[in-house]
Amino acid sequence: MRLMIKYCGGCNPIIKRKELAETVLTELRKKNDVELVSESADIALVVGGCPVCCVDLQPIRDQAEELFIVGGNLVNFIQVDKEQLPDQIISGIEEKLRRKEVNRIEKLARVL
Amino acid sequence: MKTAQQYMDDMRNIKIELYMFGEKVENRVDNPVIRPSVNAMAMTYKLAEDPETADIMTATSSLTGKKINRFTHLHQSPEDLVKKVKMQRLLGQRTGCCFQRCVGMDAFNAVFSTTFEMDQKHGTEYHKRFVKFMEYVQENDLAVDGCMTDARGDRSKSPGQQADPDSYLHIVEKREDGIVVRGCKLHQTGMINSHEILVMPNNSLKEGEEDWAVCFAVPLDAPGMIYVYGRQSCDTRKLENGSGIDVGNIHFGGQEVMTIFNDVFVPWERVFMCGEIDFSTMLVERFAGYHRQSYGGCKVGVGDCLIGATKAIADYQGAAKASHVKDKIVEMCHLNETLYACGIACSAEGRKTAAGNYLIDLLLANICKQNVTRFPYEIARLAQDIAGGYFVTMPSDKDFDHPEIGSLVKKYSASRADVPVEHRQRMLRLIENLTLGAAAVGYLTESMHGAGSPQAQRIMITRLVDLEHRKELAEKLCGVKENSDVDWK
Repeated sequence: MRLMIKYCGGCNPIIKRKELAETVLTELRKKNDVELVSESADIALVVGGCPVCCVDLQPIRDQAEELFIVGGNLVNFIQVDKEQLPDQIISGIEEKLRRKEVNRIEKLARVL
Repeated sequence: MKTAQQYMDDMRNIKIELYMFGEKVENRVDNPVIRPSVNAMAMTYKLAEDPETADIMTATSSLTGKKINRFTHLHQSPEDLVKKVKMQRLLGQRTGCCFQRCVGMDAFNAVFSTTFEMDQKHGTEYHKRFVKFMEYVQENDLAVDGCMTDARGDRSKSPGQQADPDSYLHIVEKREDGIVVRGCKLHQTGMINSHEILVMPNNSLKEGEEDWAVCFAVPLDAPGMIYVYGRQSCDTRKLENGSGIDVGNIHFGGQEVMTIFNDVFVPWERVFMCGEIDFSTMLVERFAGYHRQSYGGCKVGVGDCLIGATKAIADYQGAAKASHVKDKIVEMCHLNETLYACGIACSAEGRKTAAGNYLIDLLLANICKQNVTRFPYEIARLAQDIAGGYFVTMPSDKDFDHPEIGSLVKKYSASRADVPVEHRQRMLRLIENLTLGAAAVGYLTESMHGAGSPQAQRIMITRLVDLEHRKELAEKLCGVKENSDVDWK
């Protein structure tokens, strides 16, 4: 998986963004082949420090096939306990990957 | 964009005529009194490099399409204005002091839109010149000091009526290749840590005062520039050898510099206003508006540090669970976030100028700054209330390490048994620094007078609020005036 990590500016964070991203990356790497990239990513993990998550998403959309957005204690806009954040993000990203692989296989099957 | 190290190298290479404590300073960057302020400015470069903060610290240039430091940006939307406030809060949090680069950014945006409108009316070419200057600033990621406040002599007289015409910076000679200016700008915070100076007139001007209607840019080391460093409360603590604990904020600090323009030559390509008195008010109001917005970000960031220090000292001293302490900390947060809300509000209500960049809502920016003249004082009062009196009576750090009395000083400076005495000592010194030491210059007095003293905002509020409209609302409600809205049966 080609993973891009993008942070907000961090002016008023309620979570430790870098620590969270590093935990997620470490855990993902235990079960997946993860390459950290800055362009042409399969998934961009956007880590905002608060629920506003004011990161400019447009340039990220141009560089990644899918976005996974964390804003404070919101994961893809759903509120979760802070302690649950790493697990929720990891399972969410892995689910996106699974779906992507299924789509790829279905597409291939249709071509064949 | 420049790295923080490249910025430090630049500062070492720019040689200026600077005086402090009656002596000439040859190496300002490594001077222990000055260095904390250079470090604060360097953070505006450092955080733009850091992926964890780059999103807020950088922008795309409207002039070149390149990635630039946000401090050199011409705001292109209300979102840009909001991000400016967030960037300032972030810098305030990371430095705990004035980081000095906002004034230039506010000057860029005010001069950009004013020169455009000036050219439209007068057929001049100031805007074209200024765009060229901005491209140079962005390309080289320069720190620019926005320079407005004159010496002002007799406050009851306008510039043209002063006994000494130099009380306000003015043109003393017009040449084929440029102009020569003379005067003095006071309270220049980022001045000696900048690459360039962008000078604006101080106030509204009338007929006969054309020589004072001048806006231009010169490099810091232009011939004729003289700088005199201002004193600050507790400044010589920075000269003491030792751990630095007594300084409070061990890496960062602010400063103010008297800046004398002693017959300085400015080439025409760097002149952006020359005699257009009818645009002096617009330029001053726009610059002041932007800068009043700025305080809704930077002072909030420093407030975050003071709230954090207050929470910490309450914990260290065993007072954190007292209900009144908790309530006072809530009040500090309420006041601080109210300032932030004003900064965000005047940004979100920003509008496009004829030149294409965005201007904050001037009324809300003035409301923001009016609150800034009051709330930091109350936040500081509450911090001192919770900290207790020891931060103004605590012995010097050298007494803590004294071979004979050190152990006694430590013994009687202890608070909670599980908290090292040094932690309490450091935190109390930080609270002292922010509320009545060197940093109080920036957090309190600058909040009062920077970007205009309280009365300046009240004049603007009077001008911008439509009181007659409000009076009519009341008259309709109570029947003094007919209310045609209620036309149903």
